[in-house]
Amino acid sequence: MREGSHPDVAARVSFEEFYVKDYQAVVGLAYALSGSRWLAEDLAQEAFLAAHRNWPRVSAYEQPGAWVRRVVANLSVSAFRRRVVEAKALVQLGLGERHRLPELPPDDAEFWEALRSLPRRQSQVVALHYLEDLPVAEVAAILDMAPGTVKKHLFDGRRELARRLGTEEDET
Amino acid sequence: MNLDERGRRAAGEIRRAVGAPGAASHADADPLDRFERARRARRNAQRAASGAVAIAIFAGAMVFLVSALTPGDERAPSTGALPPGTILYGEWDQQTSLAHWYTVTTDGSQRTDLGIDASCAVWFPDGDRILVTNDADFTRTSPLRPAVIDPDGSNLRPLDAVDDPDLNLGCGSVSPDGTRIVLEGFNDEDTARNGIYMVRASDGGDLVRLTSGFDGPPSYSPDGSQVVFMRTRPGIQPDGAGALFVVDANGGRPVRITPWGGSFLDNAWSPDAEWIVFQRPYGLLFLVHPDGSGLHRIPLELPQGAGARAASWSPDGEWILFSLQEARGATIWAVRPDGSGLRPVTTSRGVDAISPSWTS
Repeated sequence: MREGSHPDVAARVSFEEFYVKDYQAVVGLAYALSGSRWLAEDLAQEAFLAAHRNWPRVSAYEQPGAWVRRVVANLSVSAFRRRVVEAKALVQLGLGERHRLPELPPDDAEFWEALRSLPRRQSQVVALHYLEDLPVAEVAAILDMAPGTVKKHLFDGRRELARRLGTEEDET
Repeated sequence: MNLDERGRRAAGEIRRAVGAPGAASHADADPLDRFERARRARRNAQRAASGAVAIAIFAGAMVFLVSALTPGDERAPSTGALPPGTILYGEWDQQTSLAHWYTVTTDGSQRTDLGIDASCAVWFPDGDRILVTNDADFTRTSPLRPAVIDPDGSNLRPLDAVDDPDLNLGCGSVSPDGTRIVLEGFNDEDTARNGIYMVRASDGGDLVRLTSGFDGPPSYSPDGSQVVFMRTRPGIQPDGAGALFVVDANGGRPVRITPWGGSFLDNAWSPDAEWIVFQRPYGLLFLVHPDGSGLHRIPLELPQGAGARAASWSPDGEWILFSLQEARGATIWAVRPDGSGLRPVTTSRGVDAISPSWTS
């Protein structure tokens, strides 16, 4: 069979386009929610591997990007779930085989650290709000929750984040 | 600067970091290369797990070792048999994001697929049962609980007598008399619940909280009077690291026994109660007395590009098992506490063999 005629090729090309388009945003979400310069890319890879395994189904979704963001958001905030990924990644880090994302300036690192100290759902909603400037409906689709719940998490999360950072909220 | 201005600036810095020259996502000329490498590794792991690459012991392993170790290495792997026993270990499965669990006899004569996927598994002290995390029943509405299985993987019995839907109970260990289990408790929504907890081994009831904090998998002392665990907190460097603490099994104030940043994840108490083996970030095995004295590195000379993790003890305390992580996968090895006698236990390539524990 010629390569071009393989039934998986069309889907594969679509996955590649999807990967190239969304990869950096997903790594960024993992970086913001995990706080790990070393682990963020592994978490993103896990999420994309899961998307690749389920690509016939995931590609049929209206927003495949929402699916992979939900996977990485859930993986990133659960210390328990990411442990094996972390153990493997950090041992390799010690071997000098890994790249690292650059450190953030102190003020910005403080912002994300305060965000990570919020309850899980609040931190996910607020991270998506700032990182991708998404409307409530899209955040709701990513996190598989009702728009009203997203609004409440966004309201509560921003208020608590402002309190923890000692700054003022702005109207959003 | 108000919150939204800070948030937008912080988001911009994240985007800059991810796209910066030197970041891994930027370093590959074709970002798909990295994904393809990860995907090939997964495919190889699946082939290996399906039996294409079987476990070989000692004789076969020596072929691998000749190529893996540098010539003239003073700590070249030893030949000879390990004491009789059965080793439980997991192979990380990216399909499930869990480990698939096996047992193998120390002479390699019998490998058993337990047919279970779980985050963690460890022997009961008498070797007649295995403690596992019951990940199959872990859902949005059902918290994580432990379970026990028979040594062949059958007869799973959930230990779910605790009625607390907001608390997950994860990895842990069993008390020497087999009556209590000490576990890592967590709640991603409410991290104030995180800490070390104890339950009854017969049904998972009688919940007792031992500690509060970001506390990792705990291990009992050989007399059951104390528990060792790793605690971490935001801002500790290097990434993901923490410190080892010892706490009385009846409660009380935990005592730190290693420097902050000096330990990473797993730990285990020696059968003679003299030592605790643990991983120092990253990939270095260390020993320390339970009072914090005697801290020293196990002088392992591992193959280039390898690191050690997930150490545990043989029942006689003469050997330490660990997972040897390399870029191509991880295998289970054994070494004496003084660094001598290094030898492989499993040699499956292209899989990540993790978390070994040994019962006689």
